[in-house]
Amino acid sequence: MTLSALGIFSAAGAGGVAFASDYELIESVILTGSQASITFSSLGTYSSTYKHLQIRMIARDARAVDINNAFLRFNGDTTTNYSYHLLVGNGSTVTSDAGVSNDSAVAGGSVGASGTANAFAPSVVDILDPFSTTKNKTVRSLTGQNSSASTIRLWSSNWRSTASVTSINIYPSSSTGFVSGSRFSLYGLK
Amino acid sequence: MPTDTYVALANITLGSSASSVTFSSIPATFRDLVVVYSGNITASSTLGAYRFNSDTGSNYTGVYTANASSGTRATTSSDFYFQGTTGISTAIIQVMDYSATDKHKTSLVRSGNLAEWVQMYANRWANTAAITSMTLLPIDATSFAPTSTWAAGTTFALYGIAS
Repeated sequence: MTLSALGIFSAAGAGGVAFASDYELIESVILTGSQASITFSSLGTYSSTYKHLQIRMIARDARAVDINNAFLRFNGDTTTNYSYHLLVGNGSTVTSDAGVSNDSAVAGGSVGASGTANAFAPSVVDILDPFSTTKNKTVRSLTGQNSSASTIRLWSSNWRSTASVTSINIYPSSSTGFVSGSRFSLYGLK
Repeated sequence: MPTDTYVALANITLGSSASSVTFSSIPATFRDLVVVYSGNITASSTLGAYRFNSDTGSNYTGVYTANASSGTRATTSSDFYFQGTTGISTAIIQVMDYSATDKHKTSLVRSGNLAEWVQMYANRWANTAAITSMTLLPIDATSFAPTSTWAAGTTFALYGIAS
């Protein structure tokens, strides 16, 4: 069976009235050159609009490794207020890891400069209740790299702060930064 | 200014079994594609697989991790697959930057089925061409050759996410 022509569902109904979307693009950053990190700022503007946030990213960086991590910080907090858990498979073994006093959460992955040419690492990052002032913040990320080395990873991170999120900074685990073609898109969910 | 983003592009519910399903003429106007699958394959010892732009060459590599009550499993593959086999299974396939021409196409998959497996995959299509079609088909779990059919009632939904 083939759909040779895709039908676009407008959800408009017979009356032509469009329903508002509950999943909206807030901002997208597409790198055309190297950049040390990216920051989504002024997010307090959306605290009454969205319930959750999602970051969809695909990244490569200049560090001379096959596989790299991309880290995430809220509101410029560089102190050890973050924890994480990790489940990872590398094609031969499944392992887990955890950290309780880290200076960042985990956004996802990145293919390093030693990785297969043209390979990038995608990540889907869910940030739950980021604007709550009664809860610590939880981040869940599915990421994978299929390059000269390959992994599939499921991360869960925690920021021990009840402050409403106003900014998100994402950076690779090196000082060389993300490279051209990397893309970071922030979405709000109502 | 926020913009409407998550758009349903196509929905397929099989009225009868089918050897494959293809989404074609995929517009380049979105950033990511998401495929939501729920269904069944009519034969056992099979897997669900997907291919891009009718490419049947050796251009696919994947890594996956799975868990069942019998233990965990990790392996690499030369095909893109998600759990199918007999018994209802579900999967969400995220194809990132599908229309970009400066990178290979990498997708993430989370899936599970009644045979107790929960799985996640990272798959890379070694091609910088924009994806214009996506074919989903059952394959033999040993040879990875096309085999069997999707069962009647199996559903495939394609969404575009704007950026």
